[in-house]
Amino acid sequence: MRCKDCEKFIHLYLDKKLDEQKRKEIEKHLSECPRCKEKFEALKMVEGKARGIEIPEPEEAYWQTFSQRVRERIISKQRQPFGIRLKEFVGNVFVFTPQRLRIAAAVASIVLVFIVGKLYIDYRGTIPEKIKLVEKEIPKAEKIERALEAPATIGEKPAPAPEQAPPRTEKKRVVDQKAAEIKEEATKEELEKPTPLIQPESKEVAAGAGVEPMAKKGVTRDIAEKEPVAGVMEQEALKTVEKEDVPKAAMTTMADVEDKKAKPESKVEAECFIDKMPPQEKMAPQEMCVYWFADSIQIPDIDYFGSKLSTDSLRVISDFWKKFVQDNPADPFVEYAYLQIAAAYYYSFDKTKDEAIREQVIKEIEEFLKISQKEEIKEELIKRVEKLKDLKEN
Amino acid sequence: MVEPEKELESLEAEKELIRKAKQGNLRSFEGLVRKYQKNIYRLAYRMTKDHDSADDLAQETFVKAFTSIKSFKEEHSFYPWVFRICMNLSINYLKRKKFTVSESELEPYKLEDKKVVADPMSQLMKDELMDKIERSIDGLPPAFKAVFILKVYEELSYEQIAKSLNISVGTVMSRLFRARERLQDSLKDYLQGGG
Repeated sequence: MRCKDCEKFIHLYLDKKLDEQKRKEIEKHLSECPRCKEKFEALKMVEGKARGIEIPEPEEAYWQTFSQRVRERIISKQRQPFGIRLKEFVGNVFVFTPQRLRIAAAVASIVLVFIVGKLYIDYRGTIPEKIKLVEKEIPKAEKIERALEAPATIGEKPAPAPEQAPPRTEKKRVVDQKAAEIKEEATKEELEKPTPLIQPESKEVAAGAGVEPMAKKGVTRDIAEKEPVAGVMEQEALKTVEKEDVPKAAMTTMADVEDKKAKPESKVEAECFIDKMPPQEKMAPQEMCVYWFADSIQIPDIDYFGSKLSTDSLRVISDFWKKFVQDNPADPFVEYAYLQIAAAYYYSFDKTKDEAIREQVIKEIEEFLKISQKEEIKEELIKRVEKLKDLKEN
Repeated sequence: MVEPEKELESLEAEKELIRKAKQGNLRSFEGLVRKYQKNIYRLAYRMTKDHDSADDLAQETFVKAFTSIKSFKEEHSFYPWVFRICMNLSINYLKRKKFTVSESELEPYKLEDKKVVADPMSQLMKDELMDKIERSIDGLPPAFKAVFILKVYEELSYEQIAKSLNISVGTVMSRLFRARERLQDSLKDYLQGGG
């Protein structure tokens, strides 16, 4: 037997727990190995000494009263409130040693990590659902946006999706051509009739029915009814012009006046114009432009979608067109701009009875009449100036 | 007063006392207390090395035994059950005490109560060794100490110790081995001197 094995069995030998064979092996080794022998003797001696340690016995009186003290303690415990007994019980069960506290802290950390992780996973789980909801709403939003961007089809049935449209250039040409023809006819009819300077005030009229004879809307609706693709092409044309950075005002009149479409030198920005308007009267730029431009050969109906423009809005509109004339004096659209100015001043005067404004606009328009080259515009402007003068007299 | 030893001579008498104690008879329980009070006190003293603590633990052992006696199974012996309660209370007490230092522990070691003998130097050395052993045993971790005390003073077998402490026999052997090794280690200066 080696010393290492002896050390392993020496305690069992001391406690007499070894079988006969092992005991003999140990005894043999102990007789041969002084070091192991010394260790065994030390173990034996310590236990012997330990056994010899006597404990001081309490006096007899202590034992005589011990059971009585136990009884008193039991009685006093039984009388203790439940809270105190519970506290003692908990104190006996939960002995908070540093090791236990470390274990408790570790368990608490794991639980905390688990809870936080679970909450995070739950939170992350809701994001795809939200994305799905948003994705679901996107087509609707795009549809609404397209509807708003399609000025010619306001109040009409919605245009088909752009991707279904045939090649753009050819269709555009057809649309423009058709629009120009119908516009020409409509203009002729309109000019033959006495000009109704003030439109009916009903909503139906305001929404577009009242301007039925007018070229742009008439054309568009005609096309939309007869050839649904035409509405789409209008929209396509608008988009193209937008890409070319052409004023939105010009865009809307493309179908009406071919030579005024897509003028790169025109720097008018319809958005600025709309931004200047009071919030309660804001409408989509296309809507506003369609309204003013489509009706540019007549004094338009101000009562649009049930809301009248305020004098401030009219002032903004007239300022806008004045700036346009000032910035783009050579632009062919200036002729129409003056019509807008005249219309705005007309209604502005009707509302405010501001003589200074009226005099000013009459003067400006008369000045312009001298240089105007388009007969139909001239005629229309003359009518409006007369109307303004009539307003003064009334 | 009748001697408790005579009162509880037979096992049947003890069972009768237990039965009555289970019904809430405190007088009968007192008979059981008187029978085992010294053993329990000594065990508590071995564990705590302090009379006041031993007294408190011994009393608390019997209080706990009385409050839990309804859960005691009559086919078992009463003493091992009470013994086990005392050991658990003592171990818990020592675990708590480990983190609190009493005033007596802060006092320097004194040799004042030593008996004067013919060979004072030799006796002093022997007493010193005994004290050192006692202090070394006292300094053992509660779990090791419990096993060592049950083995050395109560002379219980491995199996009995395992049952008393509700641990396996292997754990008993392991703890006893380590307790002895620690004692050897702490006493090596004395042992090498020829103790």
